[in-house]
Amino acid sequence: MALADLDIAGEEVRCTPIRKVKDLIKEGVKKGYKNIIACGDDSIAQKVITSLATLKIRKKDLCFSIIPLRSSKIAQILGIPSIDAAPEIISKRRIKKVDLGKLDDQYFLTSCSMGAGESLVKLGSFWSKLTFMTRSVRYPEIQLKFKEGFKVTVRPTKVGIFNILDYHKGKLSLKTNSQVSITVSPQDGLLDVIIVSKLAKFNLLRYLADIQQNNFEKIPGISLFRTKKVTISSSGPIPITLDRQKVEKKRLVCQVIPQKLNVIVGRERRF
Amino acid sequence: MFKDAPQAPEGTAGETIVGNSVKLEGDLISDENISINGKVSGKIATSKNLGIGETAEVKANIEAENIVIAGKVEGDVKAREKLEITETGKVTGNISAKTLAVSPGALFSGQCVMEGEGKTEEVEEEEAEE
Repeated sequence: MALADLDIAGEEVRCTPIRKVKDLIKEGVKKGYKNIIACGDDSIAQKVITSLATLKIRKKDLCFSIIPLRSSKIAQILGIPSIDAAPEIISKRRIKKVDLGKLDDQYFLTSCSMGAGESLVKLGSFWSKLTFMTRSVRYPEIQLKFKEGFKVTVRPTKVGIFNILDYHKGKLSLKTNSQVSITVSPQDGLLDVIIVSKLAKFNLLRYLADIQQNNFEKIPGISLFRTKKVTISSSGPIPITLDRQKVEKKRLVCQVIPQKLNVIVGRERRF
Repeated sequence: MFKDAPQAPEGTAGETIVGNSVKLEGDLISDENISINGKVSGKIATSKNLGIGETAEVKANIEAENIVIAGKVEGDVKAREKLEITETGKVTGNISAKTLAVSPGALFSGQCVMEGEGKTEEVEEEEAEE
């Protein structure tokens, strides 16, 4: 089903080297469009979200949504399971206001992560695992200074900063003696900082896939803090993943911007 | 090799969790349950429950609704309801609680105030016995 079948008029625009996402959105907003729909994967969605969040023109009813042309975590979170389901969901215009995370000057809807685990690749075959066991893993010491008045020092395998989790309706159960179940909501005005401590080599190999997929439920020694703002620093470069892009920085600031974005959601949304 | 890190006592693991290789400095003030397995120095206060695991080393004044201590604590401890020191718990400092439970093997050095009875009991370098 196409948007036109639901009597929804729209303009389709494409990015080119001289027409960036932000320029296209600015143009669309000036023309009075209320719905900005990203067609593609999380990478393009991430660019649209950052562009909308940094737009100087403020329009209260401006909404974001996505038509997932490829696999998209953001589409799953918003309750848009497929390209076929997208037009109907978008036409219903069920709107929710959500927080955004901001890492330095980049905004994110879901999460960003950093630490030694970010420099590791997925291990498939027996031989790649064997090679991994012979390599040394660098664990830079990271300091996290929380706005709430405390400072954490750790050599983490991973630090994940979540605005929302992309599974189990945002619910997370952690491995402790008693069952701890928390809800990571993009509407609570807080970011959830999950730290996976340095693991022994065999444990790292055992849990690497879980760490990379943000499946923290089985991993031992997890730390969890909720914050409005955290400043992260290290004496060495910290490997960071945001929007599937890997960068390295020594200092960064991550904060929540409450109620920053209107999103069109489906019934199967995960928050 | 695959042995999991000791965790905070059952029933007190919560929404703020300090893992066993984490060092925290400053004021940890929360409205949520707190579970500590790492090193903490400063001040800890929550309106809910606090669990201090076997691997925890805490140098802080503590205040919470219910507190279970299985690790090492240096500082004053105030439980608005129940304070429990398990067999692996070591507390150096003054404690106050409405209900107190000290397991055999626990170490406590300091003053104890049981609220509600207006009674103060001084204990020094004493090991609880059955």
